[in-house]
Amino acid sequence: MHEVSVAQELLSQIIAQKPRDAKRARFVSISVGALSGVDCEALRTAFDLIEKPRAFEHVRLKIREVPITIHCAHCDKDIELHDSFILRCPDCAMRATVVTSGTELLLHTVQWET
Amino acid sequence: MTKNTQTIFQPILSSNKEIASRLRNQFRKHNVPVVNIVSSPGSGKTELITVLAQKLISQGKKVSVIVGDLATERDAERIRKSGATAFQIKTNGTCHLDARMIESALTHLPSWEHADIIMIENVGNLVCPASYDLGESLRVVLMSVTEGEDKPLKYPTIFHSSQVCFISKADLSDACGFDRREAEKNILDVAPHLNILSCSAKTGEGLDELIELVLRKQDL
Repeated sequence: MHEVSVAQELLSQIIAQKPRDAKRARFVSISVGALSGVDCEALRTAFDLIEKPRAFEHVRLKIREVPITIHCAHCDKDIELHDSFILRCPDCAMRATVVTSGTELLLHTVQWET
Repeated sequence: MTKNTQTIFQPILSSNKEIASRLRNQFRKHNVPVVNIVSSPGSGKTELITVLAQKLISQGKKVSVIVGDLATERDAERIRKSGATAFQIKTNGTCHLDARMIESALTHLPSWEHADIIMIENVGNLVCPASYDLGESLRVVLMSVTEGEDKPLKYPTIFHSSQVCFISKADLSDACGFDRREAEKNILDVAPHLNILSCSAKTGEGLDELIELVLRKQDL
């Protein structure tokens, strides 16, 4: 359950970004790759449960789940994988060593109420 | 009420990444290879580190080890018997090591700068350590033959985040009916880049190859 640590890191980051004139944070949007090692549901629960300063009490977490995209060197194209961690091209079955997305764990935007 | 959307676009674990890159620079500066060893509990991390340390020390090398566990000093005590310098991190319930813990452990490891290798034994867990860069030059995932061939399919992320996979307890392969070909197929399906080696801390099988691999400095 390292999602609690991840949730705490996320909260510290948005606290550090708070503009002086902002009253409170409304939404925070992040992206979580299928290969990031973070479980979205566990992160959502952890983020809801951790203690937050008053201006962050009601902040809502919007998570964009990013599927794995591999680059097949044989077919020379990018392919999105659905519900699978097998890094093989669905067309030619070749294994792909290049993962072009799906490993990210990113904070994108924060919406503030001023 | 006015609403303002601020674009930030930075990794959520950026503070860990910053410390990890600071550590990596220090390790490079002192030319010390650092191996982060991850696996499930009971796959033989401590025993493998102990015999590797013994072998390295008998070759005149200096070995430092950082061990992470939720509780107790037991593993560091076992490893110290090899002659290695070892520091135990007690995480008090945290399921992984992070870069900050390594930075603080280094202050307790006398003259790590002169070590020929630093081995980090991560907390036994095949999930959480995957997300935390420790500044290592090599991440090794250990998978013992007693765990079955399908471990990589169940825990793909940790295999994908590693560069090398050691199949440990190879001496028990026959007793467990371990199918090496099937295991390799599963490992490469989730992590096609992985270098796979077999070893046994008990019989010594594969240890020389492991040592050659972990000491390689061109990766630094």
